[in-house]
Amino acid sequence: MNLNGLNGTRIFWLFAIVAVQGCWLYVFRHPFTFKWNAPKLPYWELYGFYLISFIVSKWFHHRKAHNIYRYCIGWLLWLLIAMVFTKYVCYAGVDWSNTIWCTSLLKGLAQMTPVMTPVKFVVLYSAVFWFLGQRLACVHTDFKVSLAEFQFGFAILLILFFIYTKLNIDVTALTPVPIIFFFSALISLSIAYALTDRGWLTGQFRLQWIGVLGSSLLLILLMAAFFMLAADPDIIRGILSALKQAAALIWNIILAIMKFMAGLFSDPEPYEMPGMERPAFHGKRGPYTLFRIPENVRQIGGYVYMVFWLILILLALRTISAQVFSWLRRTLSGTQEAEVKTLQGAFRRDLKTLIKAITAWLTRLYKLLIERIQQAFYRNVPGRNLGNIRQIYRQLLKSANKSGVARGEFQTPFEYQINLTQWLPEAKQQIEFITNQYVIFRYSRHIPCEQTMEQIKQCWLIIKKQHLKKKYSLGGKSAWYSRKRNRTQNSIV
Amino acid sequence: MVQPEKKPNAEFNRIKDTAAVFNENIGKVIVGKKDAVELIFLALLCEGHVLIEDVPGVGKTQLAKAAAKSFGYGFKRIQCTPDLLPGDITGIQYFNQKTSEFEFRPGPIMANIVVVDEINRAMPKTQSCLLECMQERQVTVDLTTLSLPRPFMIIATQNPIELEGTFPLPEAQLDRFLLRVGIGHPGEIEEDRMIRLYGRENPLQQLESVIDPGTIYDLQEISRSVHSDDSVRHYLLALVRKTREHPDVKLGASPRSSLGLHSACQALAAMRGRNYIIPDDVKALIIPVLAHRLLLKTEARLRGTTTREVLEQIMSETAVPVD
Repeated sequence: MNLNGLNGTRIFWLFAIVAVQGCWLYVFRHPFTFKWNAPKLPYWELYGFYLISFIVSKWFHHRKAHNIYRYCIGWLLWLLIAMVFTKYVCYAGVDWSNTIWCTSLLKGLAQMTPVMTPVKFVVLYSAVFWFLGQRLACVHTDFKVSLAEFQFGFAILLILFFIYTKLNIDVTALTPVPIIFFFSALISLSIAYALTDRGWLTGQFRLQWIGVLGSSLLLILLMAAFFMLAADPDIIRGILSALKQAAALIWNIILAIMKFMAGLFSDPEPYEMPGMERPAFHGKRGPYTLFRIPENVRQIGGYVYMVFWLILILLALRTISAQVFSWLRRTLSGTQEAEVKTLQGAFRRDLKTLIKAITAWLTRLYKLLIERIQQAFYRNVPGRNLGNIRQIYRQLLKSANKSGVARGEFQTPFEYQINLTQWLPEAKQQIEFITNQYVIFRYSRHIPCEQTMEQIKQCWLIIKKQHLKKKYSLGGKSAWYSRKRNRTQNSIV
Repeated sequence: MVQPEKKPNAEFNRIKDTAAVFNENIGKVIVGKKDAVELIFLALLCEGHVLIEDVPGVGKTQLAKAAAKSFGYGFKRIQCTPDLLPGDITGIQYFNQKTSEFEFRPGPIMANIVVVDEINRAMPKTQSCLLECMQERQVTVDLTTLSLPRPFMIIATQNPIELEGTFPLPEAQLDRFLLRVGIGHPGEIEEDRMIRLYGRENPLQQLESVIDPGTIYDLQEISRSVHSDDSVRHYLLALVRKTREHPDVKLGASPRSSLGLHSACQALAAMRGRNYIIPDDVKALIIPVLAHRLLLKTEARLRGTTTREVLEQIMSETAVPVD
């Protein structure tokens, strides 16, 4: 079965990933069903958002649309569907023609209280499903992706179960969820691993991987048993109060020592300050009004701050778990004597890397928007082609990279030209022309004239045409599949 | 700063044409080996010194003499022997009995192009007298300092195989050579052509100069005007600095080598008809310019590591400035 690059294996893998994500989303939803006594709180209906988002993103991906269009139009579509869905779920009794549901919905969202309401829940969950659908449309059937999903979901499930146990929430109904989670994760990992031509049963490290899996399952079961038996609130309270008493004892000892030390020095004699006359006030007396930030703004700021830190913590957690598993993989692969980086300072480094990545992304977005505005307003200003040749060369690099012909960092443009020519021999002249012009611009800062720029653009169009022709010449499945295999093999090597 | 587009400078084509003429002239004596010939012309553009190092019998001295003859400047030859004294190179003060005065007799160093053959056969004290000449282009004899003619260029040859009766060049002297050039054995066709060429007579004797002496100053000026982008310069510096941090290197490249590499890249760009340096120029010249200046640690040498391998490794680990 082949649906525009989606073969049976990939569809199976996608379902497995969706199941993995669905497990922790289901567990997250659990306490809210008790809170509102709302057994009809939608869950399975929200998968519709997943599907629609996936299809829309796939469509944009095939159209080679820029990411900015994909995100803007995609999220506008989400807003529309989410409002309609929320009306269906939370305002079912209200007639469509009565717009009171619309204003009530918007007010409900704008109401900045820390309490989760059904409206907010539905909108939030639909947004999460939409995001996951967009993301899934762009990821490759990769072992790393499967492993990342497993690690992240595993960490989230652990945290959620721990919190629910502390809050005395009954988790009996969630017993099948971890089983489904591990089963789906195992399927997705197996499929992704099998696509690298290293099956679980035939690979070199099959015993080690099965051992890792078995010990992980055993660890989870043991930890679950421990939490069920030992996570008794009374015991925890007892431990906490013991810790508190110990801390109080230590603090009293410190205070006693400080008092003793202070007692060694005699108290100073009281000194009377001369009475100071208040200076005469010559100004205007009256009530002073201070500037106060409006309450709404303050609350919005608080929400934004909280969401920002939540996202940072979750992403940092994900990266750390990736580091740990990466170390484990290296150790099991027999590289005992190789130098393995320690994890000291890993969190700080990960956080710094994350912040840098976010800043770089925002900077790129800002530059992209500014460049478009400049292109629109400064159309006739000489030198406007300044960035175009670089953009075209970057796009060429990006296309070649996606096809598995990435430029090595140590390669000059002329050295890389050889690789490009081998990749697309039909467009050899065009590649040479673009590379020459890029080198002239990049290293001598001579701006190409309009005519040359037009020639460059024409060459780029020819290259794109040849590339697309080659990409789809063998049919979607085999060309795409062989590229994915090559990329996976290269990444593992 | 961004400049509006303009047509490539015709003067850079002049360098390219001159290099082609020089190459063709040398080709009458040395068959093939265009790379080595090009490097010697490049050294002249930078007014740097060249060390031709190769096994015996590949034409080191022939190449040096052919290059010197082609330049159109006066050239002198010094054959280094273990009994050669510094005064034999720089010149001596001698007492003229007729005039009853001391007179200075200049040595063979007082020429535009000096071919120093088998430089590693001279004693260290004789080798050291070349240090001042090579760096400062002047000679000091008995408190008298004399400037050497400009342009001044030393083309030295040495044989790396024989160790008996030779004195390896000190690091200070090696650092003063801009380039180290190897020739290598010719291919079968080239060797056959060489035998036919040298069958009747030595073509070196009929070789004439092809470069007008006055032209060189202009060409050197043009070469120095080649533009180097900040990113390319940083790339060059990154490569040089990494030689100082490499674990196998005891002594890395000096700041003099950075200057030399930069001016060599400018000259190479000019010879290719460009008025700007590209990273390919840096990569093409890093081994001829830096390989002889690096000093490897003992353990690296015992492992069989060469400076060429170290530089290739550094190049493969350094990112080229590309978008």
